Amino acid sequence: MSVGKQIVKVADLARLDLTEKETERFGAEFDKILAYFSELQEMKMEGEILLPYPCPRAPDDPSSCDIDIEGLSRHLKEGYFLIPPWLA
Amino acid sequence: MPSKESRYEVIIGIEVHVQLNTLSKMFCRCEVDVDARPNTKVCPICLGLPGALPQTNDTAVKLGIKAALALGCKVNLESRWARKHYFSPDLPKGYQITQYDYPLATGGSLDLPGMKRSVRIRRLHLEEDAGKLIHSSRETLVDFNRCGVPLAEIVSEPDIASALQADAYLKELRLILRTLGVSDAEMERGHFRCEPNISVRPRGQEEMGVRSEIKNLNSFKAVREGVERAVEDQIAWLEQGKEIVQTTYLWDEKARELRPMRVKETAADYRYFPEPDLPPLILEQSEIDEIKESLPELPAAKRKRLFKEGLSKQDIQVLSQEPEWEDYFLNLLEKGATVKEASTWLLNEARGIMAERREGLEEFKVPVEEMVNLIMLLRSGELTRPAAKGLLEAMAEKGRGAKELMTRMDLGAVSDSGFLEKVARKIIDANPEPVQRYRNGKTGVIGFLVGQCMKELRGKADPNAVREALSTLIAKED
Amino acid sequence: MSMKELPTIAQLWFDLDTGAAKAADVIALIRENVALYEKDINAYINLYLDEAEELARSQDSTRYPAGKTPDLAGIPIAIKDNICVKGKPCTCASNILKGFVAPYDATVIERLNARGAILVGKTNLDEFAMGASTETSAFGPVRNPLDPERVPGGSSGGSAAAVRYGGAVAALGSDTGGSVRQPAAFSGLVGFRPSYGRVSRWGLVAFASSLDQIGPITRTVEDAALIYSVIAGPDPRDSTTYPQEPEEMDLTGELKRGVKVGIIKEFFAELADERISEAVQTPFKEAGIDLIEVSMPEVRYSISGYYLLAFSEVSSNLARYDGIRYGLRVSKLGLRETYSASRAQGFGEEIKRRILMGTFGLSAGYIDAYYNTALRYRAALAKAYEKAFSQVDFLLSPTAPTVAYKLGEKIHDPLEMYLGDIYTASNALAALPCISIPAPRKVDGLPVGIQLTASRYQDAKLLEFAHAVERI
Repeated sequence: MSVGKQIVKVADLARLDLTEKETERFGAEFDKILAYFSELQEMKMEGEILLPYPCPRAPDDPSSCDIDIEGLSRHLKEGYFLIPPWLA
Repeated sequence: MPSKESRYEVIIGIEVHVQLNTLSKMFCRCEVDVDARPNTKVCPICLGLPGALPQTNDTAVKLGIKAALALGCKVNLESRWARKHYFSPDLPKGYQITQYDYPLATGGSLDLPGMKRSVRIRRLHLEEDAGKLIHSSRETLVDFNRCGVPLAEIVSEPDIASALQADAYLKELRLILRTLGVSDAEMERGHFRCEPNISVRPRGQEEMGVRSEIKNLNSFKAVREGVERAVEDQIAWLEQGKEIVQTTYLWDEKARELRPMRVKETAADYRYFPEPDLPPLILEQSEIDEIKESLPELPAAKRKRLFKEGLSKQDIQVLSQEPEWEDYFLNLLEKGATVKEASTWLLNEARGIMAERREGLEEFKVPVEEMVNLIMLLRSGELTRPAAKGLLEAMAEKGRGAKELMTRMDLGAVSDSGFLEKVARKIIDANPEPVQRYRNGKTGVIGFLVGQCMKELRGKADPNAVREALSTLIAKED
Repeated sequence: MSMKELPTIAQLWFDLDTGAAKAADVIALIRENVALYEKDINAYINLYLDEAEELARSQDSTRYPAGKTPDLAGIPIAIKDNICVKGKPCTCASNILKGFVAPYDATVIERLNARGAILVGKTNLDEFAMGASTETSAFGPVRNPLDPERVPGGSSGGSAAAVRYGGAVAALGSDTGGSVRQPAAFSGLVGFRPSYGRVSRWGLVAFASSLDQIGPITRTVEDAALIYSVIAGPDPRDSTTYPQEPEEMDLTGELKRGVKVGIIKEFFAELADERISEAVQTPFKEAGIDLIEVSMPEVRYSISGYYLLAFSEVSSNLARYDGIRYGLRVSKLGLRETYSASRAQGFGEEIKRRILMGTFGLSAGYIDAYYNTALRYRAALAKAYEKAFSQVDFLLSPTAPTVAYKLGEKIHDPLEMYLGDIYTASNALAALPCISIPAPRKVDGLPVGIQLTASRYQDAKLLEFAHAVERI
């Protein structure tokens, strides 16, 4: 199976623009790497590993946070994050 | 030939996202306050900053269990968190933490009131909400105050066969959640988001039809209209022999139309995998049992009880649709009113007054205690029924107590027999002809005379006492 | 001029406590070393020497009652730049985090601060800790102070190099599949990876969440144990931390009689360089410890299992870097275009490679063959390790199949680079504690790492044993 051909689809799913060169290069590499990884599929295995302790549950006590979004982004407008239009 | 509609079978399943009534968010302790100034209820966790990790809200888990139990679901002792991936500017981490192959609860059911139909619940799981996008043609603004707010997603089996049933299912589900205090479930505020999926197939066909999904339904009316539209469309396409493509639609409230979303957004590959930042959610049976014990009386049981206690089906219907009314009603019962009294004075008289005044129950100025006072005055004969009606009107107007107003307006029933006799005397003297007829055996005429007396008394006497006074006087003069 | 030797934490703590040394003087030594080496070595992304000096002076003027000096008071420590320090940039050596200043402290930073440690600077790393040579940093590669032609190992190469050239007394790194242990090995230092869940990941920028652990890089096992005892322990902000407090340690330096040390047959069978095998095994033989051979065929597949899982988690963890809320944004007309352009420009080649492979491994139609298979493998591997630890107390292996190699030697062949993790991926997958300590004997004049692995949560026992082995 060649992943090379899927790379454009996968790049789109991962929201990564690839140059033509990158597409070609990654495609070739992936075939090689996945061929190596496929050794795993020959093993017959069962089961799963889980963390041996349950999910802790925190009390529902609201606390405020001093985070200031001005320190995060300069793309702001009236307290909102400003982004390009959704459907352009 | 049977009608078009009856030649097709409609199959509907509904996913509902319910905002859980917690103080803080699902995986961080930011206050839940969607209306706060934008991006002021945010932290590294709900903004998806590098290095931040989720912390599960205990109350959200408990509310999820509560809802699941009320829907007759099996609460799983082990459930797991999963990541659901998609890119959207309102989804800071690029994935939503949800539950996938190991949901909190599975396999419940909900009876549609008065419909003899039960809708199976496939699953209930917990997840986090996304932020809010505000679109214009040139830009989009993002507010993350809502991001991370806890949701329960409740998924039904495709057991719903019409828009009417969909409506009933959602109303009953909403009522249950509000009764439990699990959610405010205010639809227009997005606490209760319904996404029906609809398919239609010719009756007798085994294969399922192609699904249409509808989002952005913000009222029960929208649900009914949206579902009806989807059904009509599908039947029309089948009639025309058109191929139906699985599509997700947005309901356009203004145009009252279904607008297909772009195909690209429909064909998502969410790449679910177990959330490595959270161990499995392990519950003790004892915790589940405890929550089960604490469940309040559920709407279906309550309805059964009230019906047994004499409430009409119609009244039950009213109460089941309007939790505030039901709450008021049950409070009346608790404070000593009978089902009959509560029904008469709340659902009949008070409702009428409110309608006239164009008020809702929230604006109604008569608290439960005062309504009970009025009922008790009536019961003890201190107040007559017509006077009580007037009194209630005044109470609704002025917002004062029953006793205070009764005294001030002099609406108390006249029980002084000397005074009653005086009035009766006056009416007998003024109406010799009817009195003569009464003497001649036309006893029915007494009603007229009682009416005249009541008029004179401005309704403030017990009509039976008046009747008594009249007949005694006439008899004496024989 | 030559490098100013720095004391170990243990020495320095003693000297500060007795007043024989001043923390500010140590910072001055570090300043000299930095002036001498940093330009060539490139260990740091950001240095905070002035702040460090100020803090050192205030520590020096604080009089603690005798013996009450906090564990790390006045100790200058370097922090890998994928760990958040409030008010400081956190770059992860990536362009995508351009301009990002962490608004909060990682738990490990809070704990270090509470014990008086002094932050020297944030160290260079492979972009988002993905790499084994610190050549993928957007801030340029790090060179090995022992031989600047060679790599320092990675991904915590900056942390290892800083400690090696005297730019800090100790450092924190992060280890996903060997990123603390292998650079420690390449630099002749101690690198400790605690059991998964022992150290809070709150504030550690995620690479592969189910594998990432923070660990110290130090000059001695004692120093590693000291730092570990400060940073380890449950944390409500990281739900994956082990709920029990770490055990007390007793670093006597004595080899317990009857200790059973195993070697995994398959590991040594595939080792190309006989000299590394000898460098690793000889000290034990000389100390009269028999090495028990155990067979664990599962480890042969550990690179595949490790990378498949790690890639998938990478594709998920790095989805948040979209240019919307922080970091680099390459503005385009539309949203989707802005996403793709920002990510394409912000991420380096190795990151893109891993995101693409991980996205593929989770996508519809392939998840069973790749991600889910790797999950099952992980369970099988953990079971195999469990079985091995029913026979032996510790497992011995080299930390890496080679000594430090030259810059550019492997970077163009990703698979070749991945295979370098053969000894450090499997125990990480099994969530085990493991440590690399320098072997007494070098190969080609370069240090070799001895790796010891213990069963899960036996961190204290492992450190005690490593401390004893260090003294052989």
